[in-house]
Amino acid sequence: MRRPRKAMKLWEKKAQELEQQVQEDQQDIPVSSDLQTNSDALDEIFKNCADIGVRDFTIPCEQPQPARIYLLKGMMDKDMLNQSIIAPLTYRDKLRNLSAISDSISAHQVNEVTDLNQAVDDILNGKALLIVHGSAMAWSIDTRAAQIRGVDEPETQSVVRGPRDGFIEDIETNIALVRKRLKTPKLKSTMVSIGKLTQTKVGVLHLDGIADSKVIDEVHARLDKIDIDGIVDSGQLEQLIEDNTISPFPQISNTERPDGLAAALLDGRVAIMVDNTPFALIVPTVMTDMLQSSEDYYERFHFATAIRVLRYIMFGLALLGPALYIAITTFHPELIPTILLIRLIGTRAGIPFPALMEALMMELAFEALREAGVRLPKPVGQAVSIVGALVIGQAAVQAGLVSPIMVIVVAGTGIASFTVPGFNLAISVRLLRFIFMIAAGFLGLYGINFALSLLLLHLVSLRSFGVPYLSPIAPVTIIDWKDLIFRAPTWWMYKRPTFIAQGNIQRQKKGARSFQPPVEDKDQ
Amino acid sequence: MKKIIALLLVLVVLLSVSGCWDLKELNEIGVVLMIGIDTNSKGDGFEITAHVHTPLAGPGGEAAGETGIENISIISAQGQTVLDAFRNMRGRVAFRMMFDHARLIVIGEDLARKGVKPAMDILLRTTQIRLNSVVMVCEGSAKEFLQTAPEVSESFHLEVEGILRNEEIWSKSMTTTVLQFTQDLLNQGKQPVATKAFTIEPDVSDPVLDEEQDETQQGVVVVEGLAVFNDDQLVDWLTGTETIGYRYINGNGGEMMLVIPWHSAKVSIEVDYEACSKRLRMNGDEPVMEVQVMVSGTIQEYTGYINLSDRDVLDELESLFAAQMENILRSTDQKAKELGVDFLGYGSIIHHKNPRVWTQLNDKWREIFPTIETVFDVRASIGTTGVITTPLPR
Repeated sequence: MRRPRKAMKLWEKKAQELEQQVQEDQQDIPVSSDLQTNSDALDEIFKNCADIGVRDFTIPCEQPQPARIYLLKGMMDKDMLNQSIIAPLTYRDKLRNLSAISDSISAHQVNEVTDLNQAVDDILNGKALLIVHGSAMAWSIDTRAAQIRGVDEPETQSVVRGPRDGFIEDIETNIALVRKRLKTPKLKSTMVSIGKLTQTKVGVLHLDGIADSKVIDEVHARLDKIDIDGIVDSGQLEQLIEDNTISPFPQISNTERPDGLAAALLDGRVAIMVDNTPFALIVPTVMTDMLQSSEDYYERFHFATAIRVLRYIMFGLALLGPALYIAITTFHPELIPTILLIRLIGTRAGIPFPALMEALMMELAFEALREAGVRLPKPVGQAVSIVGALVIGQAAVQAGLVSPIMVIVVAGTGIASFTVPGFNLAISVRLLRFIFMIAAGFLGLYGINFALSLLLLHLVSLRSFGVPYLSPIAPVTIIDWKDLIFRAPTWWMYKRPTFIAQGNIQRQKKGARSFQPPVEDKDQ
Repeated sequence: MKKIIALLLVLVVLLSVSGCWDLKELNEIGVVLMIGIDTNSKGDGFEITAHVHTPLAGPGGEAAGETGIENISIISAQGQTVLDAFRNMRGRVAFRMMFDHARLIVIGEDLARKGVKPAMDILLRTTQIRLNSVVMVCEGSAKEFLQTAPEVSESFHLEVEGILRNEEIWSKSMTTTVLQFTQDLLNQGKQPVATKAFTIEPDVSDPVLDEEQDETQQGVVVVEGLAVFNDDQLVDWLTGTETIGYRYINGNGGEMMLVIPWHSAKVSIEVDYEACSKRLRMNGDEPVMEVQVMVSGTIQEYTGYINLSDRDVLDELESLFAAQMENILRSTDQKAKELGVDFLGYGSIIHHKNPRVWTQLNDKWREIFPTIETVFDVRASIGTTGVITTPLPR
């Protein structure tokens, strides 16, 4: 009993020490008017930081003053530094006093800094920091040149019809991509930085008057409570703020598409953008969102509806396909038409494993193949598919280890799971499939029913930022069924999702399609 | 903690109420496709014959998928009761037999004449036999009947099922299900009938087939006519034409072909059943059955030279058509009265339409039934005369 208590104390002690250290780091250090003091302090802070550059020069005022610029080498626009800062400060001799410095710098953003910690942050963010002797003030000048890839087509969530631009690893570009689509001051974006070491910029976007203010407050409250050294991707942030961390179902959806995000904001949702990742988070999210693609709204409604019906069927198949096969063949063969049953018996004759084992083996092999395909370098990837198709598809059947029907079932299930647009939902379905298979293998259709009931109980108890996860199915809001399985024509969807939007709920005037197409005059 | 305990309790309860804990792998089951029931040789029990499909792996463990439906063995066993016989059968089969797919139940003639009730109980009591399975009676023993080789289909049961499906096109046979047979058996105003099947020597022989079939009996299966039961005992067979009458009077007629001799030539009319209504009329104290049947026909074949596009000509044909139809219906009606077995269900019509009369007739219905007058009213119309209206010139 003693040792755990001792360990506990040690742990507490360490935590206290850490806390103190953090507090020390955050103490204000005022900018001194002595250049030497400032540069000594900064040099100490940036000891062994080879990517921090320094440029010393003299400002030719009435009394020439030595000055120094700190900058981050990799993120610096060198031309701009030369032409906008160093050139005007060194060659112009009409600079009367130091207070006019910020006027003579031709950069779009110049901030006055009095705290050295702030100055350090600015340098690390890629700004140039100018300190001048005799001034108890420093200037941080935005001379950043973004080291980012260009706006590109998103690799995931691709569409046939729809915009081709996708988010990139820079939050400001990403917000700009959204702003480009929502040219209204009602689009609000507030920035916080999260991660004590990474200082990752996190933006919360919403449309004022449409998004539920409770959700916005909740998002901010949850973000404020985060106390972590760093986050590198929005996926980590998602796990820190989601409602239920044990559930296999994702309660926050993500998108790489600015058009999808704009549409979500128009629905009244709140977006959370994280710097250095192209994936933006959307809250609140309901389960059916992840069965919809942004292209559903771009194609005409007949096709969109048909595709959604297909997706829902495939979703069910991806979850239950092998389980149903196991349950029906091993427990309820009377449900199979006679001729089909005899065919099935023929294919299963001589297979040494029970159907459940057979299915588990095949599913495991398929999952392994899939994982291998994702992780392998692209040129090697083809080898995996060849080996997989040959070994699993053909050789296993020929060796009499697996029945051909099982190969069909597994392949069909695999294809079905690819049709789910939300990858995060698809992977949870992949996991749950195994539970259903085991339930079916032990209890047949009764087991499937049993597991389905438990799943349903779990789903109705889930919430995403206060919105029930199965909305609008449970609780029922019939008006939102226009955009569930049936995707109503655009003119008819005159309301935003009522379970999400608050305030201005009207998307367009009811009966907006008031024009009549001109009728051709028969006499002419 | 409370939640977890509650969940565990729910799990225990739900899992223990499971009703179908019955795991069987597909390659362990033998699917029974057809059952034949006979009396045994001593006459104190039953003899069961079954077509069992058994799974077989392909040679060398490969190509397991190529074993098809032809893998059927015919097994028979005897027992005190039907179930006893089935159990005795298990000693001979290496698989768990599954009866859910036994859709054809053949009753041998001997058993049918002795009475089928002792054999029917298990069919109704077990969950494994479906109520929509076909119950049929064969000439001779069911054991021999089940050994008939299929003529064209992959297996015998497929052959019989295929023939049964033809009934809608020629109406000379009728499928009776276990449910229907039992309902008629319990109905005081109607006696049951069952599908009749028999084998004939084929008049066209297939040399290849003959070589292969030394063990199985020669002959091909025919499904035509009906077996008429008095209570649960087989009394007589209906011919194909009488079966047409049965179907039309009972309101489940199909298509049929009628050949009318007319002006020293023949007309083939394809008859479509339209509707049928049966009414009871009291002629004083005497009940009279009024049967109204509506049929329509299309002329499919004509060997004479009269122009059929003439309305008067068609009217003449229609009256002949109606008379011919009435003859068919009357022959069935006549047969029922000769046998004194009300398989046409007149009693049940009286029961439904005039319950008061039925309470008087109920007890002595068997005596009264043959004396009842039946009035037929056939309304026949000819719709089209085929693609050509005028016949070939003489």
